[in-house]
Amino acid sequence: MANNDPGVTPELDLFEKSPIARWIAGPYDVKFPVQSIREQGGNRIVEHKRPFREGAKLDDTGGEPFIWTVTAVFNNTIDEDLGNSEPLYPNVLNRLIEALASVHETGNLHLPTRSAVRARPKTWDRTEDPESRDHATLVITFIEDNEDAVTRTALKEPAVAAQMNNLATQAAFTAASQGSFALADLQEAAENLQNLMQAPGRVIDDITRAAERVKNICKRTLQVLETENQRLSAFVSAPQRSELARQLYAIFDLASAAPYQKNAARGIPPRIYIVPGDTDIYTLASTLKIDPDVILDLNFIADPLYIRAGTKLRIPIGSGNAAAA
Amino acid sequence: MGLFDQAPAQLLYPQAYLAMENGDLQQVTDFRITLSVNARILHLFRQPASGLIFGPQEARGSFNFAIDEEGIERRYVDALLNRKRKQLRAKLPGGQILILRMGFAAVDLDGPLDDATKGSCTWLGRCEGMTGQS
Repeated sequence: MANNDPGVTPELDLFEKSPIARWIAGPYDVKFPVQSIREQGGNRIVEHKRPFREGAKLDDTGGEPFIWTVTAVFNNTIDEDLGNSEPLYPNVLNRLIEALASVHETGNLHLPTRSAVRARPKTWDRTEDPESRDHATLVITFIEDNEDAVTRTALKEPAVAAQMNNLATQAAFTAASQGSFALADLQEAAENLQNLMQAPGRVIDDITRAAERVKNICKRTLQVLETENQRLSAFVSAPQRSELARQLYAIFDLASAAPYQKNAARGIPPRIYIVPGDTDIYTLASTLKIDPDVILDLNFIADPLYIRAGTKLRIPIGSGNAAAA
Repeated sequence: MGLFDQAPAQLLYPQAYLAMENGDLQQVTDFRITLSVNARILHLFRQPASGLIFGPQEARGSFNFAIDEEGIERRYVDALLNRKRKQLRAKLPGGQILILRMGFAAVDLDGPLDDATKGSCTWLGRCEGMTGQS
């Protein structure tokens, strides 16, 4: 296969350079030899289907926890130096099972592919069979723990208006202290968004645009962070676990919520209305029995005195007539 | 070595014998024994060929025999049909004896019209040890 960059030699056998698998929980710290690792993840997608419309509208309500299925082998002929002072079979095997079974708290799982993650063991399956003498296979399923403190305040969505600027400042501080990025543009965009959120009666499209800007800066910075991490430490580091990345994800989430929070403040979520014929804002307002200011607040209309047929407008739910889509 | 020094004695390579029940099998012309622990290589994520997985020890083999006018010297066919376990002893040169616990898997008989009647036994089992091992 042709290599476009003749100056780059691919690094060989990254597996051999990966860290030793290790489970640290409570008083236990066990290193064990790994044969294979399987990682599973996913997104929590909610499907909204409506009659006479093919397919479904999808909402992504967050990510599923990561699941790692680790196959460990215990055999005293193994010469991988794990630094254990006792035989792998059966001593280390029994100690690992004891650690999995007796500690009921989140531990540190060091995976060759992921470095350290916070996880809990869900199941394990030990097999010894007559075809393999003095040898055992242990398949352990670990689930990532995000260690979310589920309290009343944690369940309540953070208010964009109150927190956006704060978070951006924290992220800029973290970035500056790591010496990695100057996030002045993020701070400025976040401040702008927060101001828009706090201002009374601003156009929702302005807020959407400001939120998009914040999200784009976050995305760009995260991409740079990921590339940088890959360059520095191959595949053993997980960029989403750095403090800066976590703060950027939090800002991204908060910015995504901004337009909805502004609508929520009005008390009535909007729906989409397709203008049936050419009209103007006053005619439309009287037809729909809504204050023209409310329509203008929710929509960016270039010329309120000439609204073309087919224009999609946000209007408060419950208002309008049968023409509403 | 000097020109007139005595040459070392030539070693002899005597024949091996197979014994079953109460004596050597005189009709056996040749035999083959394979001892195995069914080992396979163990590859780990971080280290290829890091160890070996040893399977169960087992022995398998076969021997050929020619039948003289007095008939087959042991009841191989009876042992095969009745799934009897037997002890087989392979007497190797130098006084070492391989002790095998086995059962017959197959007995083949070959009767050409112009030659002696011959047979072959295939067996499976395990090695119980070796005596006279240095």
